[in-house]
Amino acid sequence: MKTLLLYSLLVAGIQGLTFATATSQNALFLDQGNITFVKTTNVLAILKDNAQDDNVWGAKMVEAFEKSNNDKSTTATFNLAFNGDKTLYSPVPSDEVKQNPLSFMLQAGGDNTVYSDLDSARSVTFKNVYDETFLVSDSVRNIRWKITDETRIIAGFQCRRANALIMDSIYVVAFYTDMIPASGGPESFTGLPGMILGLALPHKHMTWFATKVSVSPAVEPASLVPPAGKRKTETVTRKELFERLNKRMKDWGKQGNMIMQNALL
Amino acid sequence: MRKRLLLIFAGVLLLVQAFAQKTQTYEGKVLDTSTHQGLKNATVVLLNAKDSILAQFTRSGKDGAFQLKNVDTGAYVLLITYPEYADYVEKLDLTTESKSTIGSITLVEKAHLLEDVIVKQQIAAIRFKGDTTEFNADSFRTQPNANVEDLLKKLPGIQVDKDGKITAQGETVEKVLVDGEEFFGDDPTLVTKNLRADMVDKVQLFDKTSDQAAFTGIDDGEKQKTLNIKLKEDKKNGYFGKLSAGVGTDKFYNSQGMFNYFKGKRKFAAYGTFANTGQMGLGFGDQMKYGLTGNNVQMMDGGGIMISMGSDDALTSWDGNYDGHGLPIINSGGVHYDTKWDEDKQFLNMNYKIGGMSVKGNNVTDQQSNLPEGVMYTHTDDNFKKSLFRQKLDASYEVKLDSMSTLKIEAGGSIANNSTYDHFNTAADKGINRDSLVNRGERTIDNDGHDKAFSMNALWMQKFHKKGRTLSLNVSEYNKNSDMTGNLYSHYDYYEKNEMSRTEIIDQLKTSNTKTNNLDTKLTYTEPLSNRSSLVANYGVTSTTANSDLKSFNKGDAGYTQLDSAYSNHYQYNQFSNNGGLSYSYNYKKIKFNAGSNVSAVNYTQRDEYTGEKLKRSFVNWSPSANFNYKASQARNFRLGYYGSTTQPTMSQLQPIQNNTDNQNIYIGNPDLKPSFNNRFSIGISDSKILNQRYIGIYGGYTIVMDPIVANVTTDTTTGKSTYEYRNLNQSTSNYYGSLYYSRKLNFWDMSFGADLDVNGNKYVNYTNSIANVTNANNYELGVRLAKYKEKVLDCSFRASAGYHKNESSLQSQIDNNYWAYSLHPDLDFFLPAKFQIHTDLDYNYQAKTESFDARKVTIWNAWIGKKFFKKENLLLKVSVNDLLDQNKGFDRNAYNNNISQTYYSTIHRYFMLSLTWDFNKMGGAAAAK
Repeated sequence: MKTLLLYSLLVAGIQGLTFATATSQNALFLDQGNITFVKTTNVLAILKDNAQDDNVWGAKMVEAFEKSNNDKSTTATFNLAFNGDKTLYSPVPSDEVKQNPLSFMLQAGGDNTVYSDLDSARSVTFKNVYDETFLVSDSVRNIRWKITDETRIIAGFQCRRANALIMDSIYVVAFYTDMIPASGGPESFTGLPGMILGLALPHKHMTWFATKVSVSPAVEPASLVPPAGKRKTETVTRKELFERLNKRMKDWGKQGNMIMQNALL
Repeated sequence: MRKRLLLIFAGVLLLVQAFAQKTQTYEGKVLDTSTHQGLKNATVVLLNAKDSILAQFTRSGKDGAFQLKNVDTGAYVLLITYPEYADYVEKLDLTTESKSTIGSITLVEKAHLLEDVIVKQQIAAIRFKGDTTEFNADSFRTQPNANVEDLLKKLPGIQVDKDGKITAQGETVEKVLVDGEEFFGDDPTLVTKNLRADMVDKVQLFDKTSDQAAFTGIDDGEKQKTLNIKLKEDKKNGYFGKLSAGVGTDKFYNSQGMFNYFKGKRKFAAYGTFANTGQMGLGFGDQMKYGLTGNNVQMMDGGGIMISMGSDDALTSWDGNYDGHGLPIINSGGVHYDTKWDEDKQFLNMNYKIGGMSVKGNNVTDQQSNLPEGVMYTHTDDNFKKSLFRQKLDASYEVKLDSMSTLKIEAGGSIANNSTYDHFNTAADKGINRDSLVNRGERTIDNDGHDKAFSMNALWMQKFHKKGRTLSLNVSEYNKNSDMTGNLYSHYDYYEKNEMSRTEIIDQLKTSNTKTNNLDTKLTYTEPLSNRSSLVANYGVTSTTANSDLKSFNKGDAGYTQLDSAYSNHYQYNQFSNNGGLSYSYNYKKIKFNAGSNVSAVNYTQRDEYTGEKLKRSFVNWSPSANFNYKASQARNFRLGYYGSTTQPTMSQLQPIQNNTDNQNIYIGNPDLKPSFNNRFSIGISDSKILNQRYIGIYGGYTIVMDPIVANVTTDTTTGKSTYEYRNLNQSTSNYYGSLYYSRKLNFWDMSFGADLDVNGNKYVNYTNSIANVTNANNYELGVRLAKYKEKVLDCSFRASAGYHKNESSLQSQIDNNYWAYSLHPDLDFFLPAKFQIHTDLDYNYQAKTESFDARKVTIWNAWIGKKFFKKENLLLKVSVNDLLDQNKGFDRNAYNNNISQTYYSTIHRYFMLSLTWDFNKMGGAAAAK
């Protein structure tokens, strides 16, 4: 027990230095602010996973990808604005044209706007699935988080790790900080005792990590409103969306499953 | 004081949750240990003791007070955290008797704790030099089934504590990567995948991000102590292959064997096909699978895939490609070897192919020529025999010189023997009723040839630190030597007023030798101007020399010894060109645009070795192009394109070599020809609703040729001879195409529906017997398709189309050659119980009668029934029938210039076949997919 204690204090000590603003009596808790998230998708790894039990085509694709000038992973930037128990997660437009060999498979539900009302446990998500738009209005995703003792610093905040399994099979690793009391997070991931600043779906080769947290300019509560649909946008529940997609994609085989899982995150 | 515990979760002993559950509210307070003041906003978390699952959480209020509401009875762990304070952890067994107050909890600041503890920092015994330290996993022994942590513990300078925290060189390792991707470690209670130590190839330790980025290609912008675990590549050891044999009626046979063997990074493949059913070599899928086309899949910038198929395949040069005419016997085979080494930085690929083919058959062509003087009909009956035997060896070597440059060298050589024999019988008549004889003739051509060719290509590519800047140099060399010896015998009788008036006989031995050498170099440089735009410049020189020596000998008393100087010639050609080009491209958001031009200045010399006469020409070729693409959304796209090019007259148009092989068609050169210029425009619009599987697309193109070079034909209606002379037309010719397609999934029976409308046509002008002949051809076709697919049950489609073909010729415009054509094409597959499968497809074509030709109706019906055997369904027994109704007679209908022709040819028709196909594989233990 002694060595354990020693070790953890050592780590805590180093980390304490990096967070100079915190003092014992007036620890800084953020009840509003903007968090910049970078979502990274390891395209090569996904291609490899999908190519494994496939024919020679897959292997040739992987080899060609490894040799090419294409980035092996792709990134996208999102902003999570929060104030009190309301959060709004939305894509940050990028000028760069990013194309990768799996663009088609990864685009469905790849630039969601998510509004969450954490106290009433409701969320409204604007999703684009192949140019068909949906407003998913439902309760927030219920996740059985398993809290661990692992910690790491993300964007200057000490975070604690929690693991979970969603949609029966997707393994989720999240890092939350107790310095932001809002129990929100990127996409539909919420329900931890603090804000999620790091999120990974290790077997789906996707991560979301906060790169910046800013408190000024302040986030006006009035700016945190549910996304509005477009003219043809349908409002559905999460279950209805699943049924809609499943009806269309059940014949698409393994790739269809993957597209559907991504679209339902 | 309650016992303080940190990091407790692993190993907490559990108490079975009490049966009687009752919810209750618990209250408590969080205080600072030294000041005893309440801590606001402390995180109070209740976890299920048995699995650490989060049960409930809250935050403390202003005075540090908190409430946990509606808590069920059970075994819990209470976790209280506050920034910069040590975590507070306590086991809570909440029963119905439990008190509702937890009481005051005091937290200790970490800074205070540190004062009490002597920090013993352990400095690693070994210091690593350089930026990267690498450990070879195999040199550190671990127990079977040991995990990665066990391995890391054995590495010098790396410590792993009980909780899996890793320290290297005294610093905490913040990140562990597996093959460049962050490894989070799996929670065995949630996922079962595990990384075993024996799967690890190397462990690399990085200090800086840049190294990591360079090694893994993934730069996440963070500078941390990082460990990268490189896994061993899946050891692919094993083999797979296919054996297939079929015997049929009328001596038809078809057999194939393919074999593919892997050992680590080495691969060996071999194949052979022997058939007289038209089966030639391997299909596309098998070519890819057995790697015989080598390293031909390339990924372009932007993720597009390019597959290059070698056009120079074993049997595709000469007319060796079986085009459906005649009865073929085709044997082909090949071996392939490839290997990678030096961490995949070097790649070698070698292929050897051998193939032989012989075709025997008969073509019968009826041609109608519309002449100002009237109509002429030519009937040609061609009996032919062709054979080809060819061998080809090629190799390619690719090396990654460093992270920025690669070199690829390809070389290949081939030798081929070919022989062709044609015997033509022709008859030409004129008049609408074909009542006036023009000529009767026969012609025999018998040639034997030998070809030797060698080619080499080297490509060097260099990238730079500035993203998007590239430099490449390509050098290629091609050398070919062809020898041919042959006999020409031709006998024509000419008629006047249906009386034979004259006879023309040619009996010659011909020899020819052609040597060609081509050297081509090209340097290309790409410079990014900004994130959105870039400039590409290229420069190169091309040098071609050719030597053509053709001799004709007339038959004398001592055989073929008298040189016929009119039909013998010897030319030396030299062409040298400087080529350069510049193009600009812009890519921003939804818009993609590029424009530029290539230009080449060409010097050409042709020397007649008999007379010493020289012909020199210097000319400039331009090829401007521009493309615009607007991607309104992922599923909606608009593009516009332009491409222009200069077309120089060919040497045979300027000064053709005198040739009497076909004395009914004679070519005369025109040294005054100017180049023509092509302008090509294209447009495309597509819109899809992917979820509904609804696709709409419109595309089209228009080409206009300025100063086109056309062949003016003078047909002597008394002899039936045509003389072709090239000249620039003072008006333009054009052609166009357009297509509209629509497809969607129907709600009815989950079927898919598609429809397409196609139009295309051309306007062509030439002079026929000095009179301008304007031909306009326009074709319209509408097709519909219905399909239904259900995995392992059925796969059916049905397509029907109707088209109208309009051909107008300003000469003989009174002859109506417009006609309707219809086709039906059902294609059905049923998967029956007991591993039976039935397939049938039918092709019905109807072409209506025209003034010149009769109506024609053909139904080709193929079917097979098969049964699969064994658990892996890898043996297939099949009974098949080709052309059940025996209607495949071979038929073509053509219209060009002022001619309309129809050809019947001998081809493969009905046969039945019994075949057996066995797929086998043995791949590293695991059953590979078929």
